[in-house]
Amino acid sequence: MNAWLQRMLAQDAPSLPLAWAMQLDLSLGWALVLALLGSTLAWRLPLPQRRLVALVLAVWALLPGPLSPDYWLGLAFHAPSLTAMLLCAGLVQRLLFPAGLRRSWPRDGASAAARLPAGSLGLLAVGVLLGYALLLDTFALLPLSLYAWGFSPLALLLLLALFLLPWVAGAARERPHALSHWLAPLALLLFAATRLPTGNVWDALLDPWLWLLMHGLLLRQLWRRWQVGR
Amino acid sequence: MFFSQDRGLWRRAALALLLLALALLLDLWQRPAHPEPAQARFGAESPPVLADLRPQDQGHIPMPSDAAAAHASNLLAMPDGAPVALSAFWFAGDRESAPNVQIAASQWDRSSGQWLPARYVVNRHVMASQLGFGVRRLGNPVAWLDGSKRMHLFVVATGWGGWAAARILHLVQDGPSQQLQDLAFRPERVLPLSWLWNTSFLVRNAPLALQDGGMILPAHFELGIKYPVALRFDKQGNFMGMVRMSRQGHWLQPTLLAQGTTHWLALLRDTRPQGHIGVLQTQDGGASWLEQDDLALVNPDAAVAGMALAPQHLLLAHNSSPGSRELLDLSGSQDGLRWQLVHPMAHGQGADEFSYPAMAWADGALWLSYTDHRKSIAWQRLAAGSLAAPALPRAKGSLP
Repeated sequence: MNAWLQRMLAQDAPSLPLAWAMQLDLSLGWALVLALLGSTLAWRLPLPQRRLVALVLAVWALLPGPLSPDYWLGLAFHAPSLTAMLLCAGLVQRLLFPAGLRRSWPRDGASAAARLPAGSLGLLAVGVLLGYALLLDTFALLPLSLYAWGFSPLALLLLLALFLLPWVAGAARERPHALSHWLAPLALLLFAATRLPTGNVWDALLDPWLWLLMHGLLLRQLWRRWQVGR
Repeated sequence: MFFSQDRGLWRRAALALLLLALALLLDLWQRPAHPEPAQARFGAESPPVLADLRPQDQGHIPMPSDAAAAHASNLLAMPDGAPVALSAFWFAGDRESAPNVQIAASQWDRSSGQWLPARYVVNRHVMASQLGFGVRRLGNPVAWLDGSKRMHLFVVATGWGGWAAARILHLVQDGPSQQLQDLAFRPERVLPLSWLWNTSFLVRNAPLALQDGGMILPAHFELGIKYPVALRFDKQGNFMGMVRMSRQGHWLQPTLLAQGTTHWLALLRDTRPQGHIGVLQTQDGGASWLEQDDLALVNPDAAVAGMALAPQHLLLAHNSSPGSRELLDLSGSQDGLRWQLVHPMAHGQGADEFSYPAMAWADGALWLSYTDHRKSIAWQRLAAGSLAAPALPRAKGSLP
């Protein structure tokens, strides 16, 4: 039992992704991010043209060399997290192929973020707090090495259990296909299978850009709730 | 109604458990074997009496013809049967952090007793094309031979920003030949060390060799504050995790010295004004580190390089003037805490700079290299025995 626990806690036997997989992940990740940005910024255009904008941006990011944006984005920020990639893929599908996800998203045009249930809001808050903890850890302001703990099997297991909890408790019954319920568990399962993007579970779950975005989402949710409550 | 809801809950809980089990199985299946506790290997089988070390030879390592500046050399002892005794790596270009900086290398040819003409072995554009993303600047190479004698090179590769935006790029020998004219590297990965876009970790000093064929690579964080970390690698050169050695915000560039197989010291550069060389100690093979009192040796915010030839045979190259890098000395110690001068490596005046020392033990001699005025890399060889080079003052006191 003791040996099993030690193995679960061990940070010194990480499994890291292969070089080619990391390169593919980086290009694909930024392609998804750019496709989402393009389709969002081109919201006034007709749907076929928005699809074209997203496609062009995604293909641009997949090109090799310094003429590709992922060459420079990778230089500065490395790869997005798997959660961010899944979020971008889901939102791109919602924006560019709305019929396919009719059950998952409100049809009245209101933002899905405006309707986050309490469980999802809680997960959002957990994500924001987690980012602060990781930031403090980066600057050695925590007594433990949180990032290094992300190399252990137990970190993956506990995080997956945490993010499956709202679904088990039934929080997903109202909108079972909503992205917010499945993003983190799916990202963690993908991480278990691929080790992307770095072999550390924190990098798969949350990246600094996603963390900043979550601040905006959380503040927006809290503001709306406060307005409704008033 | 209650029972149907209850059934749904149990069904979801069972599925969640299944997913957890699947994730755990996938995770454990891909992991390497859990490593044994780290045990250090010493540099010399029959170490000399430190006080008997005498300069045998010295000079400058040839530079690439177009390099106006050179800095941060690193020495790697080559296998016994190899035609070269040492490989030296450093970064060279127009100036530190210049766009044209590359990693240069030379080797000490055993047959001719000379350094071979230097050539560049790592170019940032080539690395970037192989990595799939840009590398802005290169610096601080650190070389290592793994359990199969395959060469690894760890270099600092910056993103947007200066050294504080640096990452550690792990390169592996590409091709079978380690001869200088054939020596080439391919990127293995950027080491995953931080959540914040994987900035700002750097390497500088040589690894501590382990008995299992792996090593501990000392590194440090330097965005705003500085702190040291120890990175473990197995005998194939696979990254096996990191340990933060201290949370003090003023220590960087640790150099590791083994006192025993699991009892090691880390000596550190101190960024504080009037600083002294910092000390960390581990008794459990690097699993945990404890802060010790600073050494009596001053440290003008300058890199140090240490090496344990054997237990109680510790060497340290360090700048020994309080506010400048004009004096570079080699000191020796039995316990790592009290040090005595073994050999004054380079003594200048005023704005002279002799800095960033490195050392290696090869062919029964101690080899030292250091930056000479940021323009070239100087080297010296010391061995026990008669003098072959001009005599230099000896230290008083007793040394092993």
